[in-house]
Amino acid sequence: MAASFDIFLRFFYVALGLIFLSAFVGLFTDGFHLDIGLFVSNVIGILESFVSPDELSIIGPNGKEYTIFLQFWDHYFYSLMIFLSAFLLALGAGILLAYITAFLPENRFNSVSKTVSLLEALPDLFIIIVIQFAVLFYFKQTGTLLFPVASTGQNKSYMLPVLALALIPSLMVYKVILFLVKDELEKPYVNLAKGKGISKSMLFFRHILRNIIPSIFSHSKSILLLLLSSMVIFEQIFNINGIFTFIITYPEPNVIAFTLILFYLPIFLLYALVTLLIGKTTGQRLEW
Amino acid sequence: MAMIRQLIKYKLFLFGAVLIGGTFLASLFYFIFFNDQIPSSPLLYDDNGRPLHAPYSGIVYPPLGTDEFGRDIAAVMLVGAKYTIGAAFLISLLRVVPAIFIGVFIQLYLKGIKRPLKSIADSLTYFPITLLAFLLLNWVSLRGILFEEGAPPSGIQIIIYVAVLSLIFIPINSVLIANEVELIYNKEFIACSRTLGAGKWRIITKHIRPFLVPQLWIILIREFIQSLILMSHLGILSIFIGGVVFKENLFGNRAAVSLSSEWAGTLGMWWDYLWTSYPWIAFIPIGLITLLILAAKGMLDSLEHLLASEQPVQMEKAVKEEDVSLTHLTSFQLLKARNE
Repeated sequence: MAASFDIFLRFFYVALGLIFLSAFVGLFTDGFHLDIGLFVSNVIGILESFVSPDELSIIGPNGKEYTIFLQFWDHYFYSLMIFLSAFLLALGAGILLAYITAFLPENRFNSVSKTVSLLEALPDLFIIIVIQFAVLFYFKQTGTLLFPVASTGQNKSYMLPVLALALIPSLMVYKVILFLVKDELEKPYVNLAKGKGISKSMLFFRHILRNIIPSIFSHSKSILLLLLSSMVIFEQIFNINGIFTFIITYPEPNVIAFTLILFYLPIFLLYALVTLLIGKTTGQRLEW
Repeated sequence: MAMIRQLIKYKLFLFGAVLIGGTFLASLFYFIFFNDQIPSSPLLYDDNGRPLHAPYSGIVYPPLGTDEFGRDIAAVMLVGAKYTIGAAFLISLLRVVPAIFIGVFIQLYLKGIKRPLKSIADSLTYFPITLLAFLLLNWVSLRGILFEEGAPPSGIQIIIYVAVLSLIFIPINSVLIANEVELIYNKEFIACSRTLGAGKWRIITKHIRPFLVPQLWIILIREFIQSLILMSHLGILSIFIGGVVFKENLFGNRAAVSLSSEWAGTLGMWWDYLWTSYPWIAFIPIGLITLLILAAKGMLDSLEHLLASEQPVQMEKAVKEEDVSLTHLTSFQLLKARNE
């Protein structure tokens, strides 16, 4: 009971922080006003619009006020879809790569982890430009478009953004797992398992992975941070009509707070669920 | 000092330091001796005497060709280097140095409210940093674009840019450093010296500092990389250091140009060249920033490797010495018996 209250409290804190931040951003909309009164009225405005969502409105291009829910859910689910698929893809790819290289001899293992550590620092923009150029080049040479490079109104592109978005995070996951596995391989139970003749894949997926999942989990937050920041840029470059483009177009404090809390909700639910599951099955309490 | 002497042995560290420092110095020299002059190419002709139109490729106008205004790209990059490196370095310093004091203060005096503080700083995680920085800076640049007159002068714009990019990271870094201090504070020898009567100040300066300082170097380089990435993101969202000016290109169209020709801004400005028949221009700034980041990352990895290898090595030695004395024992001999 205390644990679930703790989890709820965490959601409350993050939501509170997001509301304060959005109200703070509201001070910057045209010119900078360091005005406590405006800040407080922003906070109140945000809270009011949560009670009555009809007040969440934007000024359209023709100067009329619209409720945001005309296109909001479209943008929201599109972004969420890309975000969650990239996150899960990064986790999966990282684990798979780690499995392939985990049992390499030590000197090869070290050189792999050194290279990955350097590659992981590549800025996301570099990855994007290389991928976009490669697709474009292939298109010029052969005339077949592998993936739609940018979205259009009717045609939503999923494949390329998700792949590009997941690339760097999967290297990060890979590196983290590689270090954890290295520590794990020196433990006595691994020797015992090897001695009993358990196959490598069984050893990795059944035993090692299970023991390092809590650590992977606590590292995954920094990956979320990276993904979220990249998302903003990806939406711009791939012309994705997503939730962050929506915020950039209509930067009203209450819209920002509402959107970001709504975007945090599924992430929070995922984490809460995993925490509960791991707590039930292994008895470990996760920190995140 | 000893740490630097050891670090120089790492090739990757040396390479990174020389690359970053060398680029910065070269750019600075260019400023001092040539006053940041960017040579423009004259109209060039092909073999048949017909005029070519800019941008020229690196083959026609070595080494890197020109942009649409006929400016020499290599010179533009050289001029921009010092602003890019300087801004990133300044931002990372401003992110870390105040956070040290706040972090130590939180850990020593505000321990009770650390958890709520941490949770609220946590919410910064779920506000995409690029978006936050964009929203906080948009009014500066938007004014610059909409009513060119109303924009604050270039110097103030730079100060605002640096201040926003550093201030939004201070809460996270403070919590990070507070955690770091807590880890050190919980070591046994601290409890020891406290029982011997050491005050808080003595513990901070004599006991925590030597452990904290190497960690701070790591945080500093990491922040350097992060601010470069954030700057390049803002470049894509057309927020440039020092604002923009409007210039007529060779076709007579007005286009926004980064005033400082700093790399992140140039990156955003030139991104669209990817879709033209001059795609290499888009690759130049992002390639250079990538190189800078890789150089910093090389330094970071060497530093981490050095710090990780330092302490265990000493411990292993100590254990080994003991082992040597133990090998003289026969099996099942009592340890005490050795002294007799």
